[in-house]
Amino acid sequence: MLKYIVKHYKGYLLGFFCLTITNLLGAYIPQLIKQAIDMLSSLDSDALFKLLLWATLMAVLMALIRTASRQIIFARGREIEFDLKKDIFNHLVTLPPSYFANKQEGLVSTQAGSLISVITNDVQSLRMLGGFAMLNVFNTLVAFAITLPLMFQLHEKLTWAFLTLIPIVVFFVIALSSKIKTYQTWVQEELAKVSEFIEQNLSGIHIIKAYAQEAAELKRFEGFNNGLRDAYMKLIQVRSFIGPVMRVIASLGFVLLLYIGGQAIIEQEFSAGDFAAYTLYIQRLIWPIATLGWLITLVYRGQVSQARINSILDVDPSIKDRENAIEKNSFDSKIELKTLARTINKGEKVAIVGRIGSGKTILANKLMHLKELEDGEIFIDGVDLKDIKLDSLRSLINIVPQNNFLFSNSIAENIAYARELEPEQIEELAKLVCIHDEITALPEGYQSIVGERGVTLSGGQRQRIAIARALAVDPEVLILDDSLSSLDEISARNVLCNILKQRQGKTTIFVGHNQVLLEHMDQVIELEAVDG
Amino acid sequence: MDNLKLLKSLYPFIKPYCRQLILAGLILPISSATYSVQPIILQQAIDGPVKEGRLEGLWFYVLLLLGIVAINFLFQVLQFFIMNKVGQSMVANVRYSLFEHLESLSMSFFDRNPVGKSVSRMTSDMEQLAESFVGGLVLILLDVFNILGILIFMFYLNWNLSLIISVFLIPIYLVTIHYQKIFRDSNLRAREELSKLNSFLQQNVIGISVVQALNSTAKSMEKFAKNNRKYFHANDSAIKADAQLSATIEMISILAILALIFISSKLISAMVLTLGVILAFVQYSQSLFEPIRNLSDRFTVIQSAFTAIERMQELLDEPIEISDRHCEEERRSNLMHNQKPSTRLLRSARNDDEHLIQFKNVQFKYDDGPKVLDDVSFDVERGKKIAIVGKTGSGKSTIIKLLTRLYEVNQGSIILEGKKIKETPQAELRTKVAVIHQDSYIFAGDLESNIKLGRDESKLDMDLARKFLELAPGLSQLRDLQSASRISAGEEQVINFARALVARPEILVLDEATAKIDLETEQAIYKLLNEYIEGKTLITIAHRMQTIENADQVYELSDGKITLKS
Repeated sequence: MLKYIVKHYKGYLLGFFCLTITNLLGAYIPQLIKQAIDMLSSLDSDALFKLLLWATLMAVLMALIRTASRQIIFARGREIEFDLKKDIFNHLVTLPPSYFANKQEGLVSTQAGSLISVITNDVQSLRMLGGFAMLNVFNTLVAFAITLPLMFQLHEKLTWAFLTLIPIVVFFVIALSSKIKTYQTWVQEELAKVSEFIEQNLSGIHIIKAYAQEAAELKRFEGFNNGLRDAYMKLIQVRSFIGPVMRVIASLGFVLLLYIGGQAIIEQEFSAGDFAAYTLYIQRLIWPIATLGWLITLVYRGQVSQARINSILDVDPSIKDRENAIEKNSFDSKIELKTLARTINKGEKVAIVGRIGSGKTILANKLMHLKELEDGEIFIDGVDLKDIKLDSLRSLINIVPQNNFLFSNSIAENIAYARELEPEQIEELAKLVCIHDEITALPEGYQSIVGERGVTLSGGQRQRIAIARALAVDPEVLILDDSLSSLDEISARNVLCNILKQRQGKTTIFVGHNQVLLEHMDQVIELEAVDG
Repeated sequence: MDNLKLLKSLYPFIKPYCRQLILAGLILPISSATYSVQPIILQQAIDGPVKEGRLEGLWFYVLLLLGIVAINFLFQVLQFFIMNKVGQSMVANVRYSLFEHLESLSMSFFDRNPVGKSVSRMTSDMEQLAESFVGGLVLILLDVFNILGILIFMFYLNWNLSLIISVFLIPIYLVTIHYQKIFRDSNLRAREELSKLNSFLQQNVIGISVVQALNSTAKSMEKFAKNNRKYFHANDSAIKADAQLSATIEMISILAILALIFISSKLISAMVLTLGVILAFVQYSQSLFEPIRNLSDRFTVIQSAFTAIERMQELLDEPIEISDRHCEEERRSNLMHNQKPSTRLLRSARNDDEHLIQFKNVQFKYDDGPKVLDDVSFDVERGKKIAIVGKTGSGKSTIIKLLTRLYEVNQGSIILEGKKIKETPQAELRTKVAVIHQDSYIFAGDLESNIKLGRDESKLDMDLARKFLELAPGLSQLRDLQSASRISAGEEQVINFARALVARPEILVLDEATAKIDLETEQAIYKLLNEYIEGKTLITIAHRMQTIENADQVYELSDGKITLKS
């Protein structure tokens, strides 16, 4: 957090400067009002009028500068929000897929819903710290620094009495805030449980419906829901005190004013104008004190949020460029799989087969270094894969992943995802994977939006669009991870032949057990089953 | 008023807490009165004992003020507590109802609505509702009462000065309205940008394997930065409006005091004004504008409450397309007409053996897609093994989704054991017909709970499930499924078999159930399955010919029609 604040120090300094001037004016105006009230009895209406006019001018000036100060500091909060969002996102997309498959990592669930909640809610609470809280903390400091001497000048004893209220505030804040922190964390945890449960339930809704588990799920949900409510009830008990405590302290300030100020007037130490000015001063200081409670809540919420954000940012991307990693911009001769003692030559068509759980997908991901590698496991043109810069490696080798995920965009945009394409090129690719006719049969054709996971398309249709999307990139090495499994035999044969024709001279690796497939391969790599 | 309608829709959820609400309502005037009377006590003290120089008299007023402050404090705490409690309880109720409703919606709803959207409906929107219910609705009432209290006491003190102050309410009101509009528009824009940003994030997280497999991380970062920048700028005018509003209102309140002094100078010469009154008015002018200024904030807050209620209502209004209504109606009409169910049962039992499942002229299309099934009719007899083949996308899976009523047919009917499936409760139907889909989902938890799925354990055959699981050697080592990354697609399909067969279903449907499994394991699964399926009904959907070798009948699906193949 500090890092981000420091980054924007110039803006903050400017904002603080404006705030200081605002506060100077804010202290000056009650002085004018005091003079005016004391003039009331003198009946010099001309002088009074001039004084009031001057005060009006000052009030307008103050409004202008205050606007500037708030705008500047709040904008810094937004800048911090921007930076945080950028950093979190950029970090997330470099994490290996295994991070997202583990459902919990540190304080944060790695399901999309929870990550969104971090990048909106938690970042928002840090934005509040960087904007609202920064403004108020500084405002409080300046207000005290400027107003207190003036108050002492007006009446020393009264000001000391007033200052005794501050330890009381601090006491309450400390007493309440540790409890709030405990309950706040509890609420966050319960909330995370609820949202995780809903997310899982909805992601697996087809399973739940297929086995008629709605009632059982509802019962489980009730448990989580009640847990969240109970946590909130505890938090509420403490939180209900904050607002009233702060307000009662403001009122106590006035009780003191009446008691000591009243005596002072009786003893003629104090004029009516002094009394009025003092009222305004107290009001100037009360607001900062009152927001103190609020600030504490903000700071605690900020701490919780910061911890959650850190548990994302601190995840070490286990796969990253080595210090002296090299660029590799071409694939010249061969890929060596040392542990399997197999070699894949440039331009070959290779199938990887094996029983379930034998690690076919893992091997595919290793080839692209999407999965952790041992030293000396895989070599490309004699260079250890681990010594190659990820970016250059991944522009040589691409995968059509097994899950056939399609983005919630049009079909055309999905095919042209990794490379800009002309409409004709998109159609050409669709024809290549034998899906052109099926796309044009849709009411919106290529512009049809596919649902979150492309649900209104059949499994085979999704598979073929995913293949087209990868063929658009046309990398040196393309790995198709079980990409023909949802196709019928005739379609699979046609698509396969088209792919092989298109990729003449380039290396293509198929993962799968399709009989059709094996007929066309240059070599078949069979993985041993793990021993149960 | 639209907003009133929205509030009304909250009523059923608040209803159980009416008593607490009434109590809070009764406290409201007390806490307002104890707040707004404070300057009057100040005035009484100044114009009384202070003016007359009586110290002991001052003591009385100081103690009185202290007492009133204490009462005010207690009632405020009570009020916040009650309202927060009602707010959270209400939201818990809403959340439960939302989930209940969500669970009964048909699959077509889940096709249309991304998971993330529904999750945020039930979490962040509900948080918003709870926060804004108390922070908006309740505090607005408090502010209104405070304003009323102050006005009453002010006019009681001096109506001349009160009028002057009241005049300043007009510019404050106008300024607030003006900025409120800017603020709201800007917020709306910002929220739109935010939801775009979030759905981009969500897509990239769910599709991370694609993003990385096609080496598009840099491109994604760039795009995110662009959206992020847009969101940043969408907030510009909101920040500006907010800063200007609060500064302007502060300025107006100072101007009000200046005007007050100016007018007082005219009145004091006429000797109608005391010092205490002026001082009380200086306080009033400040404390009157504060709640008004708060009001504008509160309206922003309440706007988000209304947005949350609107979204809640939208979800609750989502029609339950597939319900058990028909079965209930039928039961009721049977009772009414005192129809003997035995005749019906007899008839259905007779039909049963010949026609366990009948599709009669079934037509279907997904929401706004092309027609998938066009006049599909076929019969499945009890104990028979049926296979359905067809090209990819020909609607084979759709037939199964219709059979288990995950979607409703557009025309025609499906009959199971002589009864339209509409007339069988969904839970019963889906327990009878077990489907092994091509897609799976692994819930957090261990392997066992993923197999049992909350079903009654005494009715489950865990031994049978275990036999299937043993076919995937990788699974037997798993205790915990938290690290789901270790489960391969083929293993997920094995889990699917265990899930379905553990309940020993009479009718089993395999929908490309072994597409991701190697041939050897597939054969082992079928060997195990054939032992079990003896005498039971099996429907297989497949495109690998060897998987349908043992079928009694093979149907082919193409162009929305089904034909029997020899």
